Amino acid sequence: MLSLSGVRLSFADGPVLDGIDLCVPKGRLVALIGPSGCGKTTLLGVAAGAARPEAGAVENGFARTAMVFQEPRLLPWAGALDNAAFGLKALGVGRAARRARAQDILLRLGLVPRDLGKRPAALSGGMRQRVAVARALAVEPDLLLMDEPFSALDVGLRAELQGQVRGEVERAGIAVLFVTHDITEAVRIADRIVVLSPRPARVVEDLASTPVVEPSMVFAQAARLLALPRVAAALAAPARS
Amino acid sequence: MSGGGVHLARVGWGAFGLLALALAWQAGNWAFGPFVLPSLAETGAALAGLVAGGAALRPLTETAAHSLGGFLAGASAGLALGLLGGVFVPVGAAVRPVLTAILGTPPIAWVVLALLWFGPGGGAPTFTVAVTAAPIVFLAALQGVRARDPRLSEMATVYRAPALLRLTDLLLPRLAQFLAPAFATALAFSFKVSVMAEVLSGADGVGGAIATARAHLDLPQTMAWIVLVVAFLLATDAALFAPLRGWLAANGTAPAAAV
Repeated sequence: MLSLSGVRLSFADGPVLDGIDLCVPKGRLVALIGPSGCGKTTLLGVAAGAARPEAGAVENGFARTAMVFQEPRLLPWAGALDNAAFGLKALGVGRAARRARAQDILLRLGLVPRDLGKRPAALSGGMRQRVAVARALAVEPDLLLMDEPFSALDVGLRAELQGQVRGEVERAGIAVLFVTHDITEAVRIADRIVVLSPRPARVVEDLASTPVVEPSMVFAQAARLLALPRVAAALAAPARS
Repeated sequence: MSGGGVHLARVGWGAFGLLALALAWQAGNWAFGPFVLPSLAETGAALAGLVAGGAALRPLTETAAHSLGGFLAGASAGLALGLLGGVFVPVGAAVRPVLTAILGTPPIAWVVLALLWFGPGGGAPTFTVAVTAAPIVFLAALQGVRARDPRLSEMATVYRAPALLRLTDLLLPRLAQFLAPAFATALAFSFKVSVMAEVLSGADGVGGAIATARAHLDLPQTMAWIVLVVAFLLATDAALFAPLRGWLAANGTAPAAAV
């Protein structure tokens, strides 16, 4: 389980996280939503261990954590296969084994064999993001942190990749902390939806949810959430870049 | 056009450029006479004589030792200081003005100082080459380290990439883009400076041979030595850095930042 309690963090221009309590259990996908600039990415960085909180505690009981960033963050000089295998290489997995595992996952995510050697510049945006997802899944994480990973993709591709992430939760029982600013995305895939206030971020709602696939149901459920006063107030706040 | 076609066209245009240079040389001979510029035929005959008679081997070996020895020492020092300066900001801030000043110092001044310090012989050319190459490589290494993409570094942190993997998979490929042209420039300067220092210091090597040919007013042989040392430089450059350039060409579409 990933557990954050009373996490506070400030930057030079003021506080960003203001006493965050959050829990991500095994086999659950928790969506973190909030207005732009509220501190969602910072919170994910704290969960990943890339940033240290000033106060509060972060307990990560998962053995292996991986992360998918908002941009794919691929090595420009490496092909899709080697990029997808990067996490395994960091773990010391041998070349043949890591490439075989990365290839399996890339093909499962929809790449075709002729794409495997292509460098990121030769791949479409959707393919690059699939490679980034493959890099994360290849290390067989039990906790996956995702920072608005599909926000730059078109609607169809986004829905497909959302389904694949949800599938990994069902299939492998991994835990996912999924940052998004799109409430319908949260409704589609999350078991829990945590709503953050505008900066400095506080948890204003922590709601149980059931993943919804049917489009009309997605919008109805999103509308119900937006009818909650604290959710509406948090998400209607002016964006801060 | 296919990759092979592009390569052939490039070779063809390269040959055309060399042919144009040869024609201009020959035209210079016709216009100004053999005492200003010897003909291609005279130079070719002198060149053949130097190579066939074995007279070229020793001066070339000596110049190569001065050039490559100085290049190796200077480039190693520049690379080490550049890497340190890129990682540790105070080191970079302290070393940069010093090496920029060294870069701006005319090589002839270093030759004079080196002659006083080391006396005539191979020490002066080697030292002068080293102080010429070091700042070129230092500045490239410094820029290369500073051009690291912090988002890739963060990605590597999240995936707990060990230091060696960060070096081989993140830092070195980025550095290569900066170091390849710096190495080629530093090597070319190494040969130029080495020959110049040999001429001025009366040392052996190609510079010494050129000084002797000049004293005998033997212009074809002077030109032959020049052609020989340039050809040797090009061959050395191709042997040392062609693989690196090939790798960069294969990754030529790679943008500066991660995607």
